[in-house]
Amino acid sequence: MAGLTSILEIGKSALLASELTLQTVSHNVANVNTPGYSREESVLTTPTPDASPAGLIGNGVKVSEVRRFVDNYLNDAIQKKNTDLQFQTTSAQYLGQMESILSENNSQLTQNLTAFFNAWQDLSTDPTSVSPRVALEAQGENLAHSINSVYGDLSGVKSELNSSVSQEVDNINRMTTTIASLNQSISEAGTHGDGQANDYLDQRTELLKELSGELGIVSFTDSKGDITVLTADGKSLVDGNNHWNLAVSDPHSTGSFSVNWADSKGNLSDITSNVTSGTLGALLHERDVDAQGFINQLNALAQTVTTQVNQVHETGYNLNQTTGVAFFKPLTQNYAANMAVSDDVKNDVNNIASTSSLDQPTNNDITLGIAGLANANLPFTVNGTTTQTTPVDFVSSIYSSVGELTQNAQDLVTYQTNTMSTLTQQQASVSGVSLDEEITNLMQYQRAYQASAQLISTADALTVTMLDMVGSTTTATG
Amino acid sequence: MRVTNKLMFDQMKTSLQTALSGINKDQGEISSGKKINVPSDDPVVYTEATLLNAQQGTNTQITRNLQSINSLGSMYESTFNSVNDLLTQAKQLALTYSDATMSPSDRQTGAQAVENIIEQLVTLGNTKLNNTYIFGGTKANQAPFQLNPDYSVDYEVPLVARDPVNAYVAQGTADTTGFSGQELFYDNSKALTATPSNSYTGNASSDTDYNAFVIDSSNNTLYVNGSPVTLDSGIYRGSELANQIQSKLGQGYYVTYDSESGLFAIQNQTGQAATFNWSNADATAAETLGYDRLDSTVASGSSDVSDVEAGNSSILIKIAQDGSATGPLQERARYTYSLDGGQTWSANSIIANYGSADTTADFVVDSSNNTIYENGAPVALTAGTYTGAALAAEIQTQLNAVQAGHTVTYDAAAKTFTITNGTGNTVNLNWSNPGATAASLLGFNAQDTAIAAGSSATSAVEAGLSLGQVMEVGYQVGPTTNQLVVNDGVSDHTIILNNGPYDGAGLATQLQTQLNGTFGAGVFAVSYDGASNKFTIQNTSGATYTLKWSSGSTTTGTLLGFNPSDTVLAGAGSSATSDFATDSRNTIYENGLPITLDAGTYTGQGLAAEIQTKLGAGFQVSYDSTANQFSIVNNTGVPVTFNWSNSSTTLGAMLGFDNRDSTVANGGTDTSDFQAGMMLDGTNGADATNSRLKIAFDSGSPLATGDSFAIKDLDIFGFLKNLKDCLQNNNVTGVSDAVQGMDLSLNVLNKDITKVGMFNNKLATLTTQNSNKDYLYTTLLSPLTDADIAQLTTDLTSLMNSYQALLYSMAKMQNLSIMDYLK
Repeated sequence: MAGLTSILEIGKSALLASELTLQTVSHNVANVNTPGYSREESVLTTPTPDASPAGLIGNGVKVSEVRRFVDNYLNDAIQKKNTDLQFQTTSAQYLGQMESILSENNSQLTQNLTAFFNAWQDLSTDPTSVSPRVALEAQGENLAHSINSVYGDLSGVKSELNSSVSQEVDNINRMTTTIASLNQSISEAGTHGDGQANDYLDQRTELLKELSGELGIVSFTDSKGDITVLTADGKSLVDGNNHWNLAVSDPHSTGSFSVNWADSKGNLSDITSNVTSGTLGALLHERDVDAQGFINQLNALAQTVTTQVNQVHETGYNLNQTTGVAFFKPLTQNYAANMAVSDDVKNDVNNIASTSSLDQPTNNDITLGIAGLANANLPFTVNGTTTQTTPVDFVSSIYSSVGELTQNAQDLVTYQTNTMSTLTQQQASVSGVSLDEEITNLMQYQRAYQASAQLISTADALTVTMLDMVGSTTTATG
Repeated sequence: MRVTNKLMFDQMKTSLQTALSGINKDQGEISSGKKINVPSDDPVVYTEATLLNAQQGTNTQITRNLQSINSLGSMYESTFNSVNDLLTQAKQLALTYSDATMSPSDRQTGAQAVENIIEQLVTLGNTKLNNTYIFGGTKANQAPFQLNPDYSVDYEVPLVARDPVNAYVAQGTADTTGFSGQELFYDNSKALTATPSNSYTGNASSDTDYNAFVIDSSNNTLYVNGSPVTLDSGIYRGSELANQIQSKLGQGYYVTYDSESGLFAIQNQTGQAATFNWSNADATAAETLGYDRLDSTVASGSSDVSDVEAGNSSILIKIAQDGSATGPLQERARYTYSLDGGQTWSANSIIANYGSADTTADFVVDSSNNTIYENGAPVALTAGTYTGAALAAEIQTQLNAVQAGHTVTYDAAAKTFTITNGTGNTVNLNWSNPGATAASLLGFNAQDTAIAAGSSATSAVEAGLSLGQVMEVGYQVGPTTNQLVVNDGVSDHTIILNNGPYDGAGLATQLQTQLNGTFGAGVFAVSYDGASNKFTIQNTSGATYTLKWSSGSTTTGTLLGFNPSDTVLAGAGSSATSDFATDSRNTIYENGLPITLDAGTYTGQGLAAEIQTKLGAGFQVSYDSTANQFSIVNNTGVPVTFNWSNSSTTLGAMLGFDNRDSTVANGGTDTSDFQAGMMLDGTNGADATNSRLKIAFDSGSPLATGDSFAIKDLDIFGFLKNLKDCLQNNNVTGVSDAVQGMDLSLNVLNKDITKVGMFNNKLATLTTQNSNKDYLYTTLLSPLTDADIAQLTTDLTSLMNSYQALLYSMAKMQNLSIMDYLK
């Protein structure tokens, strides 16, 4: 049916196509800042032409699909990179916290250690006097307090890490749930997508990126377009519209959550040791290796100082002419948490010993012996390994180790951020919305729309002309 | 590349963030003034800075320590100087009041002056700084010196508490903070003092130059790391004992002995800490080596030093029976000695029973030594006491009475007589004639001497055998060792042996002669066994005799080797043999073989000649009368060993050799370790009973019962009290002797004052070093951690410029939009 109707039809298709295209442009403009949004484009094609005596005649225009600009390879790379980036970012964040707790400005460990041993030297030059004893007792308390307080702060970081583990597990569960439901929506929308499916795909891509930031995952798309997600060690998290939850538990009340994978029957299996990447991996590492490591070192420091000082002190005689008195409260565990000057000494500084013999009341060999510990290689036992070094050297080795770890993590964060930023720039280059582009398109399709409308209006005028023409003919014959 | 808005904004955000964090970092560094604030800023530098800070903190403490030691140091210096002044005053007093013109009442005044000095010294010894007695060692809460009413002074600080405390004077180095009262007022150099009430007014001298360490089973063990280390028994000098300890401790230990301080130092270079278990009751060497009974753990590279001076010993000598110090043995005084401060005393001994070094006495001529034979006829000298020259004149007179023309002279330096024959005829002096009893007195050997006309003969050896210079070889029978009581079934008979030196066979003969003289010829046969050094007394008659060794009148028991229990000889053939080997005092051992000297009384030179004869070819033996020492030169071509340690060597003590073997290379010399012939030897030289302490008296004055002498560690208070007592007793000799004591004390004190000076110098050096160190730490720390403010402000300015440029371009870009151009 060639003719005016056909022109109208073509005009209509052009109007619709322009409208749809404008809609896509609007969607792009509207989502210019939406994270994970991929630029879309209406793909215009000509419909099947009509046969005519003059040959095939075009039949207008149609929007054959709305295309998403994505680079799946880039998305995969970003997703994997995010695992590393989040691991380092989280590590650096908590190491930074521990560093500021441990740093000398805050902890004053070496300063207090030195002052404590110096106070013994002070007493050595006046071994029967009370006032250096008062100062010494105060220095002992200072030292104990600084160790207690660093221990308390480190424990705080550790429990913060622990509660973050639980929160991140909740996050992971939320994400896997959403990914599973997005799988369903996408498969319901069919592979030949409309704009709706495109947005689901964007959301799912963004969620996968976030999920891989939480922990190392493996993901692949099946023929239906469903994404299957596994943990790095092969435990299913999402398969089609099914998802598996992670759960935290602390069955032995150690104060540290373990991370478990729940199978379909709800049985838990412990995967803590396999989570070594992403935010969750970083939290576990910082909690179990770094924070715990520093706590262990601090314990070693407190234990060695307590036992070594007591060992010498208990052999000495004090101003009350008694012996066997401990200077620091004798402990058997949790040294860093509970280190304190013994009650005997706290209540009466005359209980501080200075001589090894009652017959030599002004001898100072005990004070020299304890002061000498500052320069002695003492045994510090951390995790069953004993190092022989001086107390100040031991503390500075803690400083050095927290410094090295933090510096390393910070350097890696910078590196990973830069890599990530290159990747996201590439992604933005492919999938990002350029307003200039869109506005130009807008103008282009606005003009097309106006032209299409003009087409209809022209066809309409033609029809009126023709109708007028038909009407006068009828009158003439009638 | 396609550029999108998001990309642009993202990049802008990143750039702003970078610029801002740079600004923030710079501002942080400027406000703290430090470029390193947290460990991660630079872990290596942060650690280094932490360590430097800690060291600086310790250094500040060292400064405080040094300040407090410094005030002590000046205190010691002024105290030592005051003590020096007082002692100089005391010496002056001693000089003044030893003047013979001073009256007893003058000396009383002097005594009061000395009392005053003692009081002041005690006050100085009890000097306090704050609440601490600076000479109180580790018992400084109470006064270390206590003045008694008799002006003796007690040092109240126990031995282990005498050393002053240590303090850290550098990082990791503790050192002493001062001096002990021991160092100030006492010294382990030995000094001889005479009791003020003595009537003896002659000189006494002592061989007190060095300590001897006598190691035997009672003090030969130390414990290291719980294991015993046993030293070889013997007599050692300090350095020798140090070598012995080192060789017994084995590899990694180095032992030294400082003769100045009398301290041993055992240095541990084993690579690991070592513990010396002095508290172990079986560590018997502790006291001998001067260690107190506290275990000491010594790190590798450090030393364990004696806590007190080692080798302390003392002897008190009391005259038990009046007599002279020289001259015929019968006239000599008897003494007894105590090694434990007067608690127990030895048996009486005769003064100088091996002879003395005296040369000033007169010649005593009596019926036992008054005959010279010339040309076969006796010439008798008049009994009396002569000087050398007077004796020469007497000889000349008597010889010329027979035949004129003799000239006799005496050479006081060589102690020889020379007889010049001016008779015109050859004369023969028959020294070999047994009746020529004056031979040894005049120093002639028992060989006839023919003097041609116009020639002369001179003493072969030093003259003066009747003087103190005698050295008696063999068994010595004297007034206290010459009686044996024998009962013949009827009554006790006292057999008296002739006094004199004997060899074994000679003594046996003498005993047999005296026994048979009393009980009849042929009743007893006495024999001597040279191999066992034992005597056998055989009864050849049918009667029964009891040898009453237990009798108080029997004094030959020890000499003959019999225990003090009676022996009954019943009937013919019955016999008694010595219970123990006797001391023949005539044997030295060379290369393990005994060399036996002839019994007799010798001068030093005579004895040297006898030894040389008996040793045989290749040996040269000489006697140095000045040093009073023998020298044996080995020219045999091979090394020889003198076995002085052999218990059968009985001459070592007399010859002045320690009982240590000496191996002498060909051409080498073995010289006496100490003066030969001084009194107070054990049976065999220096040993545990005498610790090498010896004393000699001159002949100037008789020794009276009750006179007493002490050889003990130098004690300034003791000297002063002695001086005070001498002044009070008007003992001029004692007062004059005190000058010597004061000189000794001043020597010790001068040494101490030098030590104080060095101590204070060391403190000054340490203080300078310490403040240098402090500055060093600051200069080291500054470039490590201090921020370069100029650099930072420049950086900050440039960062802020770029930040502003960023903001500007962002604003421009935001304005730049296609929308602006659409109408």
